[in-house]
Amino acid sequence: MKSVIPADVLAKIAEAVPVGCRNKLTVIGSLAVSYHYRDQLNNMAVRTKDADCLLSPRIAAIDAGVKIAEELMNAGWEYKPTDEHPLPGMADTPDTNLPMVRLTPPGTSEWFIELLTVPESPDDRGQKWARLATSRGHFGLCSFGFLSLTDIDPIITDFGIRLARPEMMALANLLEHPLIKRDTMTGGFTGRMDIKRSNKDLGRVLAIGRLALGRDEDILLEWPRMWRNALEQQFSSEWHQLAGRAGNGLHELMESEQDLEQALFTCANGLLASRPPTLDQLRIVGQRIYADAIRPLEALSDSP
Amino acid sequence: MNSNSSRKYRPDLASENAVVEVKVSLSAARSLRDALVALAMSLAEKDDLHGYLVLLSPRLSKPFLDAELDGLKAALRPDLAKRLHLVISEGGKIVEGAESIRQDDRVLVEKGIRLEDASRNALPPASKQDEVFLIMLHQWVTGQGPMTSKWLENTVGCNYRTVASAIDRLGPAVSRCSDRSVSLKYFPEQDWGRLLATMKVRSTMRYIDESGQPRSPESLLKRLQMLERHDVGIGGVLGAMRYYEDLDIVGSPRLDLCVHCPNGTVDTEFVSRLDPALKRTRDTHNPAQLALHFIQRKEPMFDHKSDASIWADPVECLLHLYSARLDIQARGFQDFLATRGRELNNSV
Repeated sequence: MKSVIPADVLAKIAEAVPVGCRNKLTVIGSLAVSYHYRDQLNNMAVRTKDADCLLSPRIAAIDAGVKIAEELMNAGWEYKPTDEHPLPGMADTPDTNLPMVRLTPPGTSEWFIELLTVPESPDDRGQKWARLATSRGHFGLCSFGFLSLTDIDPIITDFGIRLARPEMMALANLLEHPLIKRDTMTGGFTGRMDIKRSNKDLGRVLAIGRLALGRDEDILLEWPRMWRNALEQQFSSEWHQLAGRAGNGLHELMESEQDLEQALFTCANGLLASRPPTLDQLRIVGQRIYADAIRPLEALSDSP
Repeated sequence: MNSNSSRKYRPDLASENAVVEVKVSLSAARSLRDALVALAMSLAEKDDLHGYLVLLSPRLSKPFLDAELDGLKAALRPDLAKRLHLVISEGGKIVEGAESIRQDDRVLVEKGIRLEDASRNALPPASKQDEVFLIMLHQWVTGQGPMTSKWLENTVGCNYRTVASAIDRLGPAVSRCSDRSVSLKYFPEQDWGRLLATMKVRSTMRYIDESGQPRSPESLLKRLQMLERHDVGIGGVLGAMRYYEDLDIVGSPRLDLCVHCPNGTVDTEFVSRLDPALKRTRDTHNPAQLALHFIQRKEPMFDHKSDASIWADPVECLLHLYSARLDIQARGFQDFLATRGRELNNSV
């Protein structure tokens, strides 16, 4: 995995995205986290390869997706082929077989932009695809799980594009993994093929927690209220239930030395590469998140 | 509702065939029912699972406990009812329900009993004569005037002989009134020095940070206040600064708390709720993040403020400064208390 300077990547994205689409694009994932906590990371390069960008609202996502893809490709951004999708799709390619919009900027292959969107309705938890028909081929705009949470109250950057709030990304990951699933990372993670996706995503929650605590020792106490509001806003009919089980996956991770070690590996080779914690220190981050954020959220879920 | 969509029940201990839930000093019927129902629900998930609710020194009567258990069992499927057990332990020994524990589950249940006991610590007995001295000093520095032996006995929780011996030991520093009440005449430096040299009056536990991201005393304090503990007062630098704003220090190097434990035992479980990163250390050279000082006298002399904060008394705070080896600051605070004591007692 290559190292990139988050601010450079964001600047490049902002520069390339059509002005009219910037307010519909929210950067999520490790790039967003590393830019948000750049003070903690001493503005150092971070190991990431993809700049995940969420398009919203859903009603405008397809239109914005087409415009952004066209504009970027016209400016020399290139489609990043995969084994499964060596070329963009065609008009007759089924929606579920369409490749994602993955484009590398001109002159570098170190990272690529990837477009996603929010689910159409709160009940859409599985992977859903929407077609983006561009002059250079057809692409799929993917939505899944709890991505809508990352679209709540985003942070506007100086570049004019938006960043997902780290605590919302953490909540989305917690809910996405109510248990440690067996499936491993497609293509492995930094040379290891045994890393479970759940451990990588829940490890991200721990990395966010560690970085957040480095900036403000009491910040986790703010999370339950923000999480509750977000859940009520996005999942009004089932927020109690979601809040009640938000910590299950993290709890399972903390109970398993093997899974926690995998989470540590992803942190130490990702967001926390500049100052990797020990296994015990990472466990403490989890315990702090549990005590300050998850347990109070569970308590809030018991209230009407 | 499947296990993914509901909040997962997490017993205190679990093996392949048994789950154990431990409750200490349970006093509410609702908590008892909640614990039994949660256990029963977990038993419904696996046919051969047995559940044990272990009550350590419960404050509910045996007939009441039996009635609650029987009532719930009557409402359960017979196969579940058979697998739900209540075990009562006092002083680390099982006093009820031992016969219901299956041989294979005995180790787990006994571990449950030790699990909770591990966080309870029996304290070495404090010197009651020193406590008498500290109370007299407190009354003097706060200008409370003379006190009777009886009041001292009740405040410390000792007999009249202990009070008499403590007063005799203070010799010329004590003023005796015609009504046989007593007070200090001045800050008895020599006796104070002796007390500091032995420091047998206080047990202290020290905790260090293991996270690499230590919480500040203020952050720990915020969490203490969320716990709403009425038996814990704030002492140390933060406490001293409340009495003496000119204390020569910037910030507080650690949080000092006074825990009132008149029965001689203390439950330190709350420390992990202040911060899971805190670990007890016996290495006095390692800078601590938290120090717990245990007050075993009957009255803690805490100052309860309207904002719900609870503060240790000034003499206690002075002890903490010396214990933290903040000798210069301690000396400054001591001089302040001595001056204030003189002023207040001269004006009485």
